[in-house]
Amino acid sequence: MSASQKTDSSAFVAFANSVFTTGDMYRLFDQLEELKRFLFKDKGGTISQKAGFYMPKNLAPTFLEIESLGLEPAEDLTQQRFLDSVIAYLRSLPLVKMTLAFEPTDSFVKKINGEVSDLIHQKALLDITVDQHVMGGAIVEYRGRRKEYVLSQALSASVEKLTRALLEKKAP
Amino acid sequence: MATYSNVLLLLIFAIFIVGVLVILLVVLNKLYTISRSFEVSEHTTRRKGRLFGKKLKDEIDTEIEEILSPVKKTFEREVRNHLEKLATEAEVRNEQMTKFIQDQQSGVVRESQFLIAKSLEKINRELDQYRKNRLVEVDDQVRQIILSAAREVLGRSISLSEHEQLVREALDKAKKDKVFA
Repeated sequence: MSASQKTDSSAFVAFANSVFTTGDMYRLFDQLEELKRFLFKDKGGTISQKAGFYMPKNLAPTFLEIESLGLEPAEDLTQQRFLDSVIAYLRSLPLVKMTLAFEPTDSFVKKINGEVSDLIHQKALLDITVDQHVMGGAIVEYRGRRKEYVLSQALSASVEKLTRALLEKKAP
Repeated sequence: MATYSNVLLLLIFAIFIVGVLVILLVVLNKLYTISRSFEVSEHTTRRKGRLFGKKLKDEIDTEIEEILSPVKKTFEREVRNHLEKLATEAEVRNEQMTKFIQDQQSGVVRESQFLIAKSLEKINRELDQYRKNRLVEVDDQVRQIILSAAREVLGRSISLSEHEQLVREALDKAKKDKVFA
């Protein structure tokens, strides 16, 4: 691996650490695509300098971090390639689909993302769907493996047992 | 002289004519006699012929009777035998026909019983299936009612922290099930 590639990977991690869900990722893609508009304007400097006032607030710390570490390229063309590479890197992150019964808070999403990333030993993104029919727990899907750990399943089993007992006129 | 000669000639000619006539009469008489004798003879012959014919006929009849008598008996015997044979055959045929009809009747009865049994079996099976389907439908409806009621109650009763705890437990189980392996 070359030195520049090493540098790029380190820079990408900073962006990856700022996203936790697929929703976050697509928002970041939009923002990075917007930043490309400020390139090739005959202005020198870093991307944040070129974007100036239009730099999104959530991205400012990340760009400051990579700039301070000297991980950001200087030229327009290389900066554009850098942004494309960030997008490609984020697209390559593993996805874990989760179906929940409630709308999770941001802090809970971060916690879950951390736990999942630890379990698969790399940064992962959560694709969260809210479905009240699951009642509680979660349906987890990763690389084609799908498991349901939901209350609705347990409840259905209990109700079926109960109704069968009732229909057979047996004491539940 | 000439007249005398002429008269003489005439006389001779007349005598000749008379002689010829006499001869003709004699000849005619003879012919008549012969004809009569022929007629008599023919009549006799015919009468004899009739008698002979009658006698011949009687003899032939007798002969034929003698010849035909055994043939007639044989023929009558054959006819009787044939009729007896036909009667026997007709009886056998009749018995066969009776047996065939009886077999057909019993076959029809058996087939009818079989068809009725099959129909009954089919109806029973369909009734069973219908009953089962209805029971399954009722079962499903009851289950859905209870499930929706339980969801309603449980959905309201689970707090946010309990939801979060349930998700953590789900992740632990997923880890144990090697979903993330």
